[in-house]
Amino acid sequence: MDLHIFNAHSLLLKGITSPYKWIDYFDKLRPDLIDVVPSYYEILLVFRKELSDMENIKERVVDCLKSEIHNKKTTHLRIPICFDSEFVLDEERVERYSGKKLKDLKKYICSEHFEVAFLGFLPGFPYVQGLPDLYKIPRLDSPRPSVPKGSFALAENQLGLYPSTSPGGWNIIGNCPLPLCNVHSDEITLFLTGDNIQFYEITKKEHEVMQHYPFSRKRYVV
Amino acid sequence: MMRVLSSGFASFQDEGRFGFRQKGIPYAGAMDKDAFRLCNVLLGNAENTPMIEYSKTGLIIQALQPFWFCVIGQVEGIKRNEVILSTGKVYYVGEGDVLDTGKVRGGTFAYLGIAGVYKGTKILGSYSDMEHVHKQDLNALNFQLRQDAFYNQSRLSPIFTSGKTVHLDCFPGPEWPLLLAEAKEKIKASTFHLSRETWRMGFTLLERIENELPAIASAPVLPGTVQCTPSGKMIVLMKDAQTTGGYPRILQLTKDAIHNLVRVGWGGKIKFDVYL
Repeated sequence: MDLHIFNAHSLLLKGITSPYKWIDYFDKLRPDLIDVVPSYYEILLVFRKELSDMENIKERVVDCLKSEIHNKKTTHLRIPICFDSEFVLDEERVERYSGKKLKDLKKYICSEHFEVAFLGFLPGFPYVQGLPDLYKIPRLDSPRPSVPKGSFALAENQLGLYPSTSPGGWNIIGNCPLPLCNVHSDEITLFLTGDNIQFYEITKKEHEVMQHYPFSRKRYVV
Repeated sequence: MMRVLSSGFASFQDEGRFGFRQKGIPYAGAMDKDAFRLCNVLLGNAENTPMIEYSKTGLIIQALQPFWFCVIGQVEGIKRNEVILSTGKVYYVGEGDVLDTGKVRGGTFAYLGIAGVYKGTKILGSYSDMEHVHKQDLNALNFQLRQDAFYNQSRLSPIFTSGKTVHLDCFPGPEWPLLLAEAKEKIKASTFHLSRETWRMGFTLLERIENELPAIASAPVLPGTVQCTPSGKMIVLMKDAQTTGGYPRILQLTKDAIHNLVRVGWGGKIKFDVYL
């Protein structure tokens, strides 16, 4: 692991495996610490004030990583996805790049467990990992100006879900009817970094019904 | 309180929304924090009182109640009814009066502050507008207006640059060491110019650099992060930028450098002073 001075009040931890497992370790540094931003191989620590004693803070950060933490329980969620042709925009691309039928991908997605590596891009957008390299499918050459809300998407071998309608360049293979972000709720986002997800298929009819469900995280926790 | 007759490029801002980047929620907040703070000081407002930020064309509003206000920024043609007013000074607007907040120098941001206490509801600790999070209707501002006017009678304005090359202090970004030697030299030695792509999400520079860096796995970014696209375009991320990004991060501007950059204006000259 390597510590990089990002700016006068932030440190970047580079070269960490599974950053999502480490984010709670920094709680000791609060309230001086205001943001902990994980990604695939890095964690950004943003502090309230400029770090005047860099050596001291580096020591405290390294110390956090050594601390014993009670094994935090992983939260498991079951998330409905509708693969009706109405929601699938990139079947041809998926089949061309992977050499597999969309129904094989669907079967794989609905039989395995996936992990939320981090949230980014849009409020509440989860970067979900766990797909094999076989399904490394590049982003569209030019992004779509408008990807529908709830779109279940694939880029490289990551999965993602669009919490709101927005421009986007990922391949769209389905749709999730649930609200993914609600700034008026306590949890704010349906997914949290480190969640374990199981996807299951729903019909178009079920999708229509579930679209009206209010925002809730608890309801989908297994 | 007011009716917006023409809104231009306006948003409602305070200093921003902190502590939610882990959920993918950007900071937002005033682009020029010094100008924002000065406006509240002149008005005698509590610090961090939200106000209207605008760029390019300003707003035209009609007061439905009298209030005291102040405009700060590189603005021309502020008018109350047909009377020209200046920036950095507190004025009164009467019921029915029409206020034109003027034209802002391209690539810079101006502020219209109102004397009073804001009584709206904060969303995640802030009043700032942010796409997909919150958008304040400017026709429904909830100010408890202050008519006693404990405001500062001086005329003040932050120092704005004009034509001079602006030096931006910056840290080398996480991917700086991977840049080609020529690209590093160019970044350290050349003068760059600000393009007309100046959004709250990010500012693009006119010049390109030799870039052979591939995209990176999505990684954290902050306002002030300078990204380099595969075509060598340099983008300086600003207050509304997303929380993670896939372009190499070659530089990181200091807080002061961000404030200097938002005052440079279109075509303004920039030099990067990299701490190495």
